[in-house]
Amino acid sequence: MAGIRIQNVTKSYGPLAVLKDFSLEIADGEFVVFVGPSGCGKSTMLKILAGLEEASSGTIHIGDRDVTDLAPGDRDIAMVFQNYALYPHLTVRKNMGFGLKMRGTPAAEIDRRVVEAARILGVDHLLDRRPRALSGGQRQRVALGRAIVREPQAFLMDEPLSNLDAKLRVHTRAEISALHKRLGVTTIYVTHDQIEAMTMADRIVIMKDGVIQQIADPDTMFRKPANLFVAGFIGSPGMNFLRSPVTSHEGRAAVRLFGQAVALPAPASLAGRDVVIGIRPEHIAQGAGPVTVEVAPRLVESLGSEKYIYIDVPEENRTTLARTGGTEEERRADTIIARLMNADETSTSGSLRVSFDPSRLHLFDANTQESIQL
Amino acid sequence: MKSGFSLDLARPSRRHWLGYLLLAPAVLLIGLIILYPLIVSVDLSFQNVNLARLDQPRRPFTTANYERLFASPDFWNASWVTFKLVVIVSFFCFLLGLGTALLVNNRFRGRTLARLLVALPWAVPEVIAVVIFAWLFDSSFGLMNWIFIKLGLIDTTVNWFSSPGAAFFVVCVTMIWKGYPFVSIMMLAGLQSIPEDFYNAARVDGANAWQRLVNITIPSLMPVLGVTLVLVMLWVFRDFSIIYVLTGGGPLKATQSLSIMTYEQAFGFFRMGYASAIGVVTLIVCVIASRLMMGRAPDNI
Repeated sequence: MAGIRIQNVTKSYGPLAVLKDFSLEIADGEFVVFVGPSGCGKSTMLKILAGLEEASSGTIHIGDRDVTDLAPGDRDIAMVFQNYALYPHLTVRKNMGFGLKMRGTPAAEIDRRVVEAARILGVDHLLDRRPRALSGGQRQRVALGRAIVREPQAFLMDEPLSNLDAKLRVHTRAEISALHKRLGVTTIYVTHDQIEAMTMADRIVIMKDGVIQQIADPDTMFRKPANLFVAGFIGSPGMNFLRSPVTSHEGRAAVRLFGQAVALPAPASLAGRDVVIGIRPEHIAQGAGPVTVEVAPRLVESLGSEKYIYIDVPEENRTTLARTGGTEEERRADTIIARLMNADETSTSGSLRVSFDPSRLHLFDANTQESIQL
Repeated sequence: MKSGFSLDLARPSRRHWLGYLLLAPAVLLIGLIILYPLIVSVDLSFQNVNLARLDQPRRPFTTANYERLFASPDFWNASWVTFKLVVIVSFFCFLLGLGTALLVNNRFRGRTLARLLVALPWAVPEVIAVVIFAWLFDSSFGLMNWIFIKLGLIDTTVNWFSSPGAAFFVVCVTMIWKGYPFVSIMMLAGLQSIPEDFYNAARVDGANAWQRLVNITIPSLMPVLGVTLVLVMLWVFRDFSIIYVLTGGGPLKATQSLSIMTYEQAFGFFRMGYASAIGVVTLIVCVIASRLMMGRAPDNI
């Protein structure tokens, strides 16, 4: 086990820069998730870490060793691939023992460690089968097993859950977390799914277009997003964005939302700036509250325990800032979503009273897209 | 809607009719040009016929052809020659085919041209290829003699087509040259179906290039390898034109394979019944050999 230090790594294919100055310090035993929309460079960074691709510049240390120019096999890391990359002509036992065999480990030792790893993952009854005779979930475990028998310095996982169905994914997610707790091996996990990132990570690295947007633990990521992109990417459904001119009102900044003046817990010096106001769907509640508005729901989606209410945004509050990527579908600027827990019967016919707390609002600079800390 | 006799093939219950209808021409053709001659030759092999004529009455049933065949040293000699050819040519075709496939599977400038060049011998008509090789190995004007003398391997010109060993060598070289592109093309197709992640996983696991070849490439190619091996073996087994044009089976029957012997008996000595018997034996050997090879292939993946 060891920490990993990535310093100023860049990668470009000709004029196309896919990674721009990536630096990250990973502590020993930490579970770090790289998350971002497709094409953000997260998989490229993982491949550079594994040694499958060459970095254009920068250095990588695993433990105390400089591995920047070391072959993948000499880095003492194990990797789990999206499609598992299990060799179809080998049994599960041989698949799991392959890495040890390549390193010339004695057969008895290989067998001991394979059986041990198989027991941990609950695949010990499948050892003599071929991969094609396994279900998707079993293959996934074997792929994990192949990584853990090696007892490497670090695990690299490249979207290992994306080939599983939704239910199995939730289950396996928890298992990987438990496995990490048990083994305590430094793990770097790549995904495009913010839920996986939020549930599994000690720290999340959120990326866009080859640039790190924010590095933080999941709670901070959710509560204090660094910019519009992070705010929209983290959370499901993503944050709602509204636009309003900032005015000054009794020594504090104020905005106009849904035809109401809303005082912000911010100094009046903000007045006149061009801002985007973010509000999480969770932070809109049913009934009266600090700021109460009467709305006509355009659409109500019920998920049983909660309801998503689609609310039309008044013309003056619509923001033209495109939502930047994310796993969410592109949302229209004229709609915000409220996520109401244990909501009463609501329908699109009547009007609905919802409220929100101005202290829960997020402010972003409309030009730089950076967060304005209140 | 018109009812009655209109033939509506779109109806679900009639859909299989269309299938049979579309198959019919191919089945008819195969029956006519493959199945019927096959039956005739099996029938001929059990009769003492010299010049087969379909309008003549059947001769009495006899196994004399087969008895003579198995007692004939010529037959065993031809079998041995065929066997040697199959083993040597198949082996080198695979070596060259796999080697070239691995080479042109890499990414480099001019790869398309390299692939074209690798496949080129396959596109050359057999007889033309043989004429070229006959010239290369010509005892007076041939390129090979010149090269070998320049290299100091031999001190006097070799008469390639009058020495049994040399003639056999030339036949092998020609067949390998003509046969390896097919293996190469098949292997290349096989190589491209191996997921890149297999190699990445192996590299992370610390496998070097040789270990990756032995542990991943070759086993992943096994299904293609099996089918290709059968096809190449059958091609060598029944190939006629290369040997016939190059040596005609000589010298001293050193290059007389079963197919050359069949031809010689049938159209040289007009012993149609006897020739049919050789053909039938060849067919049975081929069927058994390919069954053995194919039967093993699916087990590997």
